[in-house]
Amino acid sequence: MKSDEKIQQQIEETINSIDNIQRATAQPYLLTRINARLNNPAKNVWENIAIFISRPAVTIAGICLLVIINISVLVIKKATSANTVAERSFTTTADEEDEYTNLATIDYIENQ
Amino acid sequence: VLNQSEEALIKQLQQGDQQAFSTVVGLYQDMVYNTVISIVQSEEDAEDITQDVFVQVFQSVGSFKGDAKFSTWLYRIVIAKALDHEKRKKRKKRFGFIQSLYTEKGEVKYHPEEFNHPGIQLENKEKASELFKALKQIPENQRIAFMLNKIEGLNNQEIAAIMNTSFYAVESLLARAKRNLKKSLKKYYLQSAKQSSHEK
Repeated sequence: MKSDEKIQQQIEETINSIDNIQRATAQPYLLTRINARLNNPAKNVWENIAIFISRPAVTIAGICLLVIINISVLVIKKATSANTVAERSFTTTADEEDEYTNLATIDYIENQ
Repeated sequence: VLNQSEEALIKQLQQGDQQAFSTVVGLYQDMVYNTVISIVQSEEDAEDITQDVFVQVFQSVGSFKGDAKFSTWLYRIVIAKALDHEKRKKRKKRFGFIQSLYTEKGEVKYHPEEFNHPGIQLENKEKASELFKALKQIPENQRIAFMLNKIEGLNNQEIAAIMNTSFYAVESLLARAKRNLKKSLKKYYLQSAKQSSHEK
């Protein structure tokens, strides 16, 4: 119970801790800095994008991404062409087998 | 709504008068800085945003029609800029691990820092710092209403005009803000009580 009361008291004190707050004052020469900003307007969006892209980390990450895309395209292409060759050879073998069966059948008919 | 001298000042400002702009900056710089620093809780960021606010004031004062107080219009710009900055900072925090690539020592740049408002009395610094932490956990509109009331000392009518809402809505926002702050602080004090009992 006592700790509950203590916590309630702490909460009240915390909420009231800003009751006699003084206004924070701005730094000196604020006007000079504002005028400097007015005379040199901030960079536009495109300039900011260019600055971002030219960061070394962004550039390296971009190059890595391109390399990864290239490698994966190569790997996929290789895998696809290997499959095509296998399919082709399988078809050829099947055709040869058919031819052999046909010849054997002809031989068999002729011998009879 | 505007008094005569204020009206004249704004008219001069709308005509691009540099002297009028200097006067406006001088008159409102602490109000702007104090509100911004209470929202973003960082002196460095507050300085930048304060400059941004006055740049926008100079550029868009032409759109000020005078149907509200100039300070109300200014508070709206301040709050919008500060909240916008907060959102951008949160987004950066989410990608903190990417940002860490750019630090020289390979450290993560964004840590939750302890904030001490420069206007807090020394004996209240620790408690106020906890309050500012708790403020970050309550909904945005409740936080803004609470800060305008407690830190800027505005009344419900003025807050209602700034937040484009009714007097009663502000009352309700303030009540909910206090309730949520108490909840959040209770959690914190219970945890620290548990921790200290474990240490014993």
